[in-house]
Amino acid sequence: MNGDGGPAVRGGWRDRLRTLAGWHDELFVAKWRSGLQREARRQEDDFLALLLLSSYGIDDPAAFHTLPLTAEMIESFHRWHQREGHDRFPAGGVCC
Amino acid sequence: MLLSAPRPVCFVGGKGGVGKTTVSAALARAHAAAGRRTLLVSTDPAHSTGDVLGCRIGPEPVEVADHLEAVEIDPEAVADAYVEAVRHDVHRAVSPEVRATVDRHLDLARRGAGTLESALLDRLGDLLAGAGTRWDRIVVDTAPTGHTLRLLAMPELLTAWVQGLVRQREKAKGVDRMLRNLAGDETPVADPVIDRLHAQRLRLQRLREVLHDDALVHLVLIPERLPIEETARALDSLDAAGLTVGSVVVNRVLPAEADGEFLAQRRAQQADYLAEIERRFAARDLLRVTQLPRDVADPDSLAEVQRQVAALATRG
Repeated sequence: MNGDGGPAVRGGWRDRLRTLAGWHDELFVAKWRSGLQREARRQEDDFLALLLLSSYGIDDPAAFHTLPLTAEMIESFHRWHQREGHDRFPAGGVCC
Repeated sequence: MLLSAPRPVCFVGGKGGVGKTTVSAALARAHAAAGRRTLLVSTDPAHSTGDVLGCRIGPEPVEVADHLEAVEIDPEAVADAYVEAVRHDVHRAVSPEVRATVDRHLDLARRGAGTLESALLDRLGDLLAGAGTRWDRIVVDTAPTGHTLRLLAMPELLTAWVQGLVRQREKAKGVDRMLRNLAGDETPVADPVIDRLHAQRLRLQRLREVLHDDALVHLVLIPERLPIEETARALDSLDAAGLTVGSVVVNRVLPAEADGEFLAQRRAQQADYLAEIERRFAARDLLRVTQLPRDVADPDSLAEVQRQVAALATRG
């Protein structure tokens, strides 16, 4: 009993600290993290929009020079149009 | 205007039909005759450089005389090869289901506005990279004024554009990195998109530097109303773009010995225009080239024009 008591108390403190850290995480870090995640998505969307100007009929002087990025960007474009609620991308023949 | 150091690249521009191709060919021959390894580049889609030189030239530089190579850029072929290379890359990267749609995207891009112009610029950049190493002089025969001014301004615009993309990409990746750090992941992540953008920006920046620091633009005109006005506008645009004007070449000046009442009247009118050219372009280096009795379609008359434009070769 006694032998278990010490570690149990120390374990209790650890658990309590962990719980506290969890609360802190939930209160502050999680909020920050989801804010960052939103921001990361927004920045990537902006980048995509800049690459795909010509698909929207907007003159893109660099379209030719950014065409080789297609291979790398097609996946994030796919994530974008799914996130925006399109199972299939409706215009331009860019994705599915 | 005498320049301290000769510039290895020159563009020959001007309104359609004023004799750019003839002046370019003659100037290139003058450089070659002086022992400089010279490349003559035709960027005008209506290629007639081969006709002037009296030989067939193609999309790769071929030797047409001692020290002289010539090439006609074919933007269609350049664009085809470029898009096919991208297609090859993309096909390896995406799942088979998406390939058909990606192909459609690439086909649209191939036919897109500006594609041929960009392809031309790309190929020109490759050739100009040989200035000072493979070739001592590169003479570029251009399409009519408007296209050329745009072409010359494009590297500057595109460099800034691609730099903007780099910044946007870095911003996105910066937030990504913060997220990973938050999760305790500190390992750096390679980004092939940034690498490609940097490489592209570097190419464009180099081309911009060649155009600004190593190139001259000669403008050709004939003593008539419309070419004078177009030349005045082109000079303003070139100055505004920070490009260096070489000489203004006044082509097809009637020689004093041209006789007959009709030619005397034409010569009188030309005298008015020549006076106007002297006055309006007084700050520029002017060079007159007289009209020959026969059009420049044989080696002898080309040699005569070469003799007359040889001064350009020693200036720049």
